[in-house]
Amino acid sequence: MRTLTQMIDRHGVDVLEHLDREQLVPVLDRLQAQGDIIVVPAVMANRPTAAAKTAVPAAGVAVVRGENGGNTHLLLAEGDVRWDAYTGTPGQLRLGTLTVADGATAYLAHPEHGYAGIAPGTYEIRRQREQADEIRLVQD
Amino acid sequence: MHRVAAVPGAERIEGLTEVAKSAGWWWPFKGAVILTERPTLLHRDAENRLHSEDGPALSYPDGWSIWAWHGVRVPQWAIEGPTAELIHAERNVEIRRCAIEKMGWDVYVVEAGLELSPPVADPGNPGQQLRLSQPLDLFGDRDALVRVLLCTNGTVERDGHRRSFGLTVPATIRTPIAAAAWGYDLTEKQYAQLARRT
Repeated sequence: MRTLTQMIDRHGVDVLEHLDREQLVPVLDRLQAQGDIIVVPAVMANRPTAAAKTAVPAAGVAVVRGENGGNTHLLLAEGDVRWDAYTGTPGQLRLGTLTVADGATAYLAHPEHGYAGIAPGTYEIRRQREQADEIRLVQD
Repeated sequence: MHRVAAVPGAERIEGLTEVAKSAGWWWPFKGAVILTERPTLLHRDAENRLHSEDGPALSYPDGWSIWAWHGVRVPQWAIEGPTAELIHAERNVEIRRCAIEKMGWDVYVVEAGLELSPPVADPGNPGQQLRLSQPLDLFGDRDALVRVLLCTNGTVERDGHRRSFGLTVPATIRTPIAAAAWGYDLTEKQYAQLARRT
């Protein structure tokens, strides 16, 4: 496990200055949430989840991109990490499928929430919704 | 007069440059021009939307101002003095939501006298708790009542505090964990296994 400082040095994606730089960034294969998104292991997704095919580039890929970069959750790869964004019906919670190969690690980076490490496996990444006058997506 | 040096053709926009230096928006018509003063105050949020948490987001020298919450234009009271009573009297649901956010969901549920479930531990968010309110008509539709799920952020804010916020869920949901799970289309049992929240 690495500290937040080590993650920032390695990937160059900075976080807000008040976050504890010495905290360790755990690498998990279980259900974990980062702000308004959640990483759901494939076995928990209520539909068949095939492994993702598209390699994540060195600069990472935004799984959620906020206007003017405000709420961007950036997916970063160390080793063979693949991400297929879901391009079906808009307004769905499903953002896409993530596959982390054996020996690889994926990270989600967000300026306000720091880093979240993801161990080998296949996952569905989802957004969060709430019930307003109609169902809407949460933006934190 | 300030001249833009060495840019051929720049003299042709000098008039526009002069107006831009001393006026705000302006509209030319045949035989007349409407000019406005520049704003004396302009506040925006991180996404560049008009926003101020303690006063007008935009003001002009004659005092004319507008109040805005993350890009939504709201009445002055919503920013400078929101109360549960004013919120319930407001017919526009967007304004109502903005005023509640400004007030803080935790403060709103108390001021509105809402009954809350006993707190339960928030999975993956050590030391934090979730509570669920009684059903209420927040969006002007008696057939679509909601409950408010009171949550605390997994990450501390700049001032060292954790932001508490409310999420609205269908009133048919009965427990705080089931409400949190619904937000991600998970079952209550699945959400209870959340390992980490940041």
